[in-house]
Amino acid sequence: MKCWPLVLLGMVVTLPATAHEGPDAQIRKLNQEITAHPNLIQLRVERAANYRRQGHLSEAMLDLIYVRDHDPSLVGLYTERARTRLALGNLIGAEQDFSEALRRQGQQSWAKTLAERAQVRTQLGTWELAQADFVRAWELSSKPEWLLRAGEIDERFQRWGKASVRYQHGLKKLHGALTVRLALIRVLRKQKSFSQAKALVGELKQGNNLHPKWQLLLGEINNEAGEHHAARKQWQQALSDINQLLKKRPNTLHRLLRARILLALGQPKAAWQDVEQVAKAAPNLPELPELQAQIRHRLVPTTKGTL
Amino acid sequence: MKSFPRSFHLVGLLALASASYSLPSFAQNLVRHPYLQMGTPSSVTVVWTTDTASEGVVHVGDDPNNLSQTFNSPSGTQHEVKVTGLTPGKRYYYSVGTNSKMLTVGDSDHYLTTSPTPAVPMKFRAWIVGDSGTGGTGQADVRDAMLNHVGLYQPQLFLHMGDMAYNSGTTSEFSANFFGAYTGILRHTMTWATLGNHEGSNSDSGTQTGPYYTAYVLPKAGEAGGVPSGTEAYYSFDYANTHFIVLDSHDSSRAVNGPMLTWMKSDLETTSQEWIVAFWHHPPYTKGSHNSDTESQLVEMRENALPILEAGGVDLVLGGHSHIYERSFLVDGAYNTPTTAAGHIKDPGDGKPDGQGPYVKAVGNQAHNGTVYIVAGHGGAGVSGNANHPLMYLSELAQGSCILDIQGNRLAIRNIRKDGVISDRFTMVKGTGLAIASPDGGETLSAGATVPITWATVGTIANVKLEFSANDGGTWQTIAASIPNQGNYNWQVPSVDTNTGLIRVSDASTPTVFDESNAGFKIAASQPEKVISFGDDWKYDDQGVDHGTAWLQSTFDDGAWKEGPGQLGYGDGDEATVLFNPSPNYPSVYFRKQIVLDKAVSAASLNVLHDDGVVVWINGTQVFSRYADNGVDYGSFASQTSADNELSSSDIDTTPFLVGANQIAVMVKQSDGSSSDTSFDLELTLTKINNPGGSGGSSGSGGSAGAGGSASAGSSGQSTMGTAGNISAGAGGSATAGSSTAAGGNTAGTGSDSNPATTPASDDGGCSCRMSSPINTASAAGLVGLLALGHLTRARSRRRRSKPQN
Repeated sequence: MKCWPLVLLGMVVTLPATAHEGPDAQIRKLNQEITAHPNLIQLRVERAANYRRQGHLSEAMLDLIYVRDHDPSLVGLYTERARTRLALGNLIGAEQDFSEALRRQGQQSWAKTLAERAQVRTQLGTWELAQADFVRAWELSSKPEWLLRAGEIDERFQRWGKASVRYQHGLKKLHGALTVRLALIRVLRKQKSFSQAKALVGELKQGNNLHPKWQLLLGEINNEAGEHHAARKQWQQALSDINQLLKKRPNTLHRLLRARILLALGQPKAAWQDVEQVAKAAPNLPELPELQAQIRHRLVPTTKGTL
Repeated sequence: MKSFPRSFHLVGLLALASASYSLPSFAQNLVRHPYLQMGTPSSVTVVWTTDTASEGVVHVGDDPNNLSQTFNSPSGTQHEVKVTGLTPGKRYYYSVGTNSKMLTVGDSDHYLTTSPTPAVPMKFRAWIVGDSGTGGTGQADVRDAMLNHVGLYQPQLFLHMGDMAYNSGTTSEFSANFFGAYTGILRHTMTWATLGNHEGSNSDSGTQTGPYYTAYVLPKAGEAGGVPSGTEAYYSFDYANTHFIVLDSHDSSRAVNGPMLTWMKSDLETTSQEWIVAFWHHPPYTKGSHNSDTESQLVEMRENALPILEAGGVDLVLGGHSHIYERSFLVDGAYNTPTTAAGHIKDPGDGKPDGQGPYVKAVGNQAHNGTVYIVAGHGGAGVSGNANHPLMYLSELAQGSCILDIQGNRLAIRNIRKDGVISDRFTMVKGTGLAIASPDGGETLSAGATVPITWATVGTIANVKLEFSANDGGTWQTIAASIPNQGNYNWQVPSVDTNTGLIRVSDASTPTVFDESNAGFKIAASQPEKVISFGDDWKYDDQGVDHGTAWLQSTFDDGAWKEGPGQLGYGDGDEATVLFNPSPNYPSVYFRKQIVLDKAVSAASLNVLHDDGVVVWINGTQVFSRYADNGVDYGSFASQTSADNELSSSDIDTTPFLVGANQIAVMVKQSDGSSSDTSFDLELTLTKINNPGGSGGSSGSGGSAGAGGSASAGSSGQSTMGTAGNISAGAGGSATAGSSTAAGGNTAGTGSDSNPATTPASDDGGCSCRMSSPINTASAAGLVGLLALGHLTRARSRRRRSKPQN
């Protein structure tokens, strides 16, 4: 029994607020802990993070200033201050803090911090530096996002060859990850490497069946390759299959897909009908505005003023 | 012992027996006992860890005694062995070890079951747990409540919502708070997990490193169905006619155009499964210990993921993180922050088949037909919160877990509180369908009593056919061939012993439209019978000889032992047979007795008078001990002094009992060499199985035993869905109890099982009734084990595979 208070103290001292509760509850808990243990500077970093998550950025900065004044060697200070500065719109300060954190951190934390700095650098428009960070983060890890972000910078500057190599490497490393496959197909189309692109789509077959989503894509590649007849045939097959699918599974994603197929087949009015239904059922679908704009563009010559 | 739940007894006793007699020199090498990963229709990965590096070997076969196939992994301490070339939807037995020795034995409890072929509407069950990894009593209580409830009908899948290893998801926390806490379940239940924020402290989705990613073998390349995600952080898999999508809300980008949601959209578009279930850690709707209106992960998952999921027709979304149980109405389109209910509740009913009726959806994954959202963050951590989310039908601040049952076009969820109460239940039906309300599994019915069969109907079904199976669907007897569909029927329960009774209701004109009980119910036609009484004669050896373990077996020659009636002992003056009183005392005295059984046993209990410690074996298997924590060998003294003539009572495992001769062996232990007395006597009460394979009478008349039933005593001892050892088969019951806070102006479900002929083990009364029932927890396991329901397994599989999709 004599040991019990020590055990309790140990728990308070060694355990951060455990994120069992939300930020408000954690802040309340941290307030108590900071009052009880004012010398535990790390607690203020944790409270700052919770303030930031709640949008209380001034309170977060006050805690971080306190930490800087009392223990500037604390590595967590720099990552948290970078995030808070980023939330405040101070991109330069955020980049400096992430850089400082990278200098002080152990290697196991680099990938995440590199990616965070890369995102700041993207916002700053320092693309090459951003890409270098994404590439390094990707090398340290296998998160698809970081590969894709690095590749997108290549694509931004039309470095198709580099992007292609990057994605091919990623596709192998990520066991055929769909997002990387689609990125590679996109780049191969830019490179006019149509047969390679089609082969990559063909690998998405389930048994002998190619989902209409991929048939649409295959048709688009054929079309770009100048194989218009093959493209049309592919799209017609896609339309037939999606119509069958919609009978069985009339969901919004499938309706949206049919709209795209109809648009590819030169039937924007029919596509618009599908999109209108989708807009009623799922106005929040992220790709809806872009598709609506595409269809509007195709419809304008004939139905101007009706949309 | 009294303070532990019964299932714990059973698990503990069998584990002890196993450790003592099956694996005496190997068990210390296992750090994590085997668990199952990445189940597909043709393969399963068996994973375990050892304290020192070695190669890994898995032996696999159709029969636990004949594990004829061998699969290997390279040397290491984390062993991941992919077992391939398997048949879909089939059970295989396995053992693990090295090239030179086994770490587990081939037994009926170590089995793996491959996933059914996708799209096949096979009935299956999943256990849903979140935020459990405390290693505390709450977690154990939640686990045991589930095991008590499901009995034989253990889940095929274990879906964990994250936060499985508090506080920081370290390797040791994983070993203790997840793998240690669920060892008996994990060895035969396919586990699928998502990363919680606490695992995220030491595991990284980017690098796919840390204890979480080390522990789990999850699909990256679409190995288990769905589209390749390229990462174990988020993935999908198929099981029967259901597509599961697992997201990482903690450590992967939640952006609309980020890789995870881009992948998810394609995955949703290309699945052709009937049901879609998605889960991740941070719930989109909650007012528990977290607030979905203010916390970024929760807000982003709601705002970014839900529009895509609902457009793809998701049916059920599960989460954890918030320490509470919350279950929504059937809702759609509530993406705004803060969440409001107006215009987003598709069905304001309770979804209960015995209440306002199931939630109804159209066939196929029609978009925006409605989704039910569940927060299952109540698996072990302390619960808290305001419990007032406007989309929730029920919000309950009590620990527990959920069971998901899917059969054809019917999906059902029940929430099992840690006290055993079923505090919530709902059903969802797609298209025309039927949903049984009761008996739906776990009930105990009295033979000869009249009980209502109740069901809900979706669509128009004029007449229904009612059937009863006494053997888990192996054979069916018609109760009523075609009666007007009124949603209920008074059924006279036949006089038959079964723990696996099922009811099936089908459209009389379209048999493919049907529902059957989610799990078996019990009918106890037989009465308990005392087979050993106090005062009966026992053979005994009080001469201080160490007989090792040979004396436990029936083959041991005890011809030279003395014999006398109970009570046996010395020092109290009340003994019928006075034993030798040496000085100092011998540590142990032996007692043996043989009984012959003409039928299999469905329940067993004993009363044992002892001073000081006592250990009881049936046919070499330890079934009970008291004050024997120092060991059960001859030389160990009792671990504590008993009261004089202390009387202990317990239900015991029925698995060791055999039809024919049974050897009862008892060791009584002194607490030390100077004790002045010792005592022993014992009563054993058994319930024997009456007409095990038969089924009930027809047309509600009951009593005319049918010819059904493919099970027969004395076969291989394999179990159908669970096995003795880590289950306690107490009745679950389908009654709901209204003890919860209702949000949105609704009240929690109210008890629905008021028929006096049933024992609704799921309410408080039922729970206490269950605990004191002479039909013990092990009875179901024992029944199955003894009756060789391997036959039923095969019959069941055939039946299910041939079932047309409805």
